[in-house]
Amino acid sequence: MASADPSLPGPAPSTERSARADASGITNAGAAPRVELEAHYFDPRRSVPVPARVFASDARLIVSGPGVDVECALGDVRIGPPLLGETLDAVLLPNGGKLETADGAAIDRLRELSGRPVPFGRIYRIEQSWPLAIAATLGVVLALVSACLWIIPLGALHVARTWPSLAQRIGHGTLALLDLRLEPTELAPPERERVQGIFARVASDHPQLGLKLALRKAGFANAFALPDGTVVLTDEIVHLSQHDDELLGVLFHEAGHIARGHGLRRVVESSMLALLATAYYGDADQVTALAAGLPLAYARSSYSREEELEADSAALGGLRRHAKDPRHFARILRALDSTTNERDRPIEYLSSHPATRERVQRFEAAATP
Amino acid sequence: MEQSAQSLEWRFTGRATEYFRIWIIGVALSLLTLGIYSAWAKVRSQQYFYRHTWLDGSSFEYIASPRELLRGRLLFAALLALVFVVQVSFTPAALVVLVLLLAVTPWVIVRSSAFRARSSVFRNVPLELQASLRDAYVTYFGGYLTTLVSCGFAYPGARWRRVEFIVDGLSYGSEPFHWFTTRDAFYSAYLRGALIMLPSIALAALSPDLPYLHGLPSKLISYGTLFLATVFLRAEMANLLYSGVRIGPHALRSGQRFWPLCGIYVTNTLAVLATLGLAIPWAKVRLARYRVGSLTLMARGPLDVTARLDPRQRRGYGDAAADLGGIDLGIG
Repeated sequence: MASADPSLPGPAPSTERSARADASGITNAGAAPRVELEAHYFDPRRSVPVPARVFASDARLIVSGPGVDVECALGDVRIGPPLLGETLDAVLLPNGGKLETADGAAIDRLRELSGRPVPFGRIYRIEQSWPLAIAATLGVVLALVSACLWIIPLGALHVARTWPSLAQRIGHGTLALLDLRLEPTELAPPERERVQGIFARVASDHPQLGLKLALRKAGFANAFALPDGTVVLTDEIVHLSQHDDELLGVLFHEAGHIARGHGLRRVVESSMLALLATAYYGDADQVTALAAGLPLAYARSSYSREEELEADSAALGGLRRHAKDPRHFARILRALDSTTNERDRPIEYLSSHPATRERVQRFEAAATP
Repeated sequence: MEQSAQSLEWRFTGRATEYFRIWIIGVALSLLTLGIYSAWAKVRSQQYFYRHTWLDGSSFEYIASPRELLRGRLLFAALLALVFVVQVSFTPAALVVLVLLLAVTPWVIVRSSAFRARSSVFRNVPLELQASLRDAYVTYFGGYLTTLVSCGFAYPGARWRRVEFIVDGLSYGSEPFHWFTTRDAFYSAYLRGALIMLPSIALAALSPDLPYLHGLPSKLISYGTLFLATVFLRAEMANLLYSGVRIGPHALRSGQRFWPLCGIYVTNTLAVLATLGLAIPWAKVRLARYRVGSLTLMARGPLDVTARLDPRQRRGYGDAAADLGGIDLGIG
């Protein structure tokens, strides 16, 4: 026990000591190990503390005080778990009564004498040690850092590659969920055919991905890729584009997300990060946990920033293969950025997309020979 | 209170240097065991906070067993996994599962509150919660309904009713709890909380078309007022909750104040951020010291109660009927 300071709050042994009855005759003093301590005794089911003296030896335990006379086998006594700091230790008696004492050293001897396993005894020994605490700190920090930098991204990639069927299922489920909020396309048939034609060029570049095109009316201009190879274009982005090659760039960008398994990675990464966060922060107050979650949110947004840049590279490569001007993609990026009014975006923890200006510059720089 | 009442101060004696070791070992072992140890970590943590909370020379005790807790956690994890699987595979079924989850929520809350109550022991007598499941459903679903119908304006009343339901069901041995906080006090607290949010509400309402107002300054104002309102409600809710409690002839008082609590939250948040979370134990200990330290028990006469159940029977009963008893989600 950390302390046996008799000046502890709680049972005040010092006042009891002078008034205690001379009870030394009750136990056989002698060579046999014995433990004596002062405690508060509680009758079974009662909340009234009674100052008492406790004697233990010869496998018996005796409690005596004003109106208290309890004797039982030491083996039937259950001693509560040890704990860091100056606390009270509890002893449960077989009659349902209870002892509480600040005399931790005596309780330690009583634990030894009773020979029973100490509840939480092993973990208590670990908690006592500063070297182990420091080792645990280093281990936890190392685990967190390597989880965010390597284990989660690589593990997610591995999952995405090993279970393509999972991608199919998540893709179907996501589209079904999206369709609760999206409406069927209102594009005219010739318009639809034109978009299908652009899409066919991208799909034939990536035969192994099984790309599918889904057109939907959403109320906002956007394009997204689902893990199963479905690319969703909203009517509004089709209207926003002023040139076929703008949509071509967008489709290559989305195909890039799919080729690298970003969608499934995102799902797996999110669940792994959530698991990590619960283990680490689950214990904290909500307000504090919110702040503590910031580094994890940052990790998440930095993954997606990398993903956008990777998909941009795919768009650039695709446009070049088809000998198209990369500035088309730059234009629609800029147009998308200006349509998204900042107020309409959900409140974001941290911006997940890299600054549009940087991305636009990349495509404009690529255009100059 | 009357003159005869003796005011007993609550005290918290935990220290960050001690709790840090308990916490970091818990986190490390939880990571190593893929979360299994988290039930033990939680129990260890609770034991520390309970046993360092003192009233009238005695400390509290947390007697739940990690196995019970683990059972509840595994059940909860299984439910979440079920929701996830259903969600990624088949949409209509996901809605059914969500409705089912909503349907069992009152039951889960009553069970977890009862579990937490009987795990809390003071002077050889545990708290008990006796709450009928029927009343729980009326309370919770009635609350959802009025909140929904009133577009959220009846939320304080619904929350008040939920607190009343749980507190009135509690007893400390032979002494039942009674709760005297009025519904109006809850409405007043939420109204004042909303007043703190006024600057950001005004900002959104008055200047929807001024783009420069949606940059950093306006974000600071909206996050800042949200933070202040949250802290204000934390203090106010704790005070309203505890100060309305009578346990037999005794009464609780809670005197948390807004600005000190704000200071604690701001410094806690900064410390936790700066240390990537390693300051969480320090933050928890300071918060507990403030919260516990602002509690007073106005005691009239000795705290003499008798437990309704024999502790031995209680434990036996607990083991047999605890199939799902270990649900402690930290709700309520």
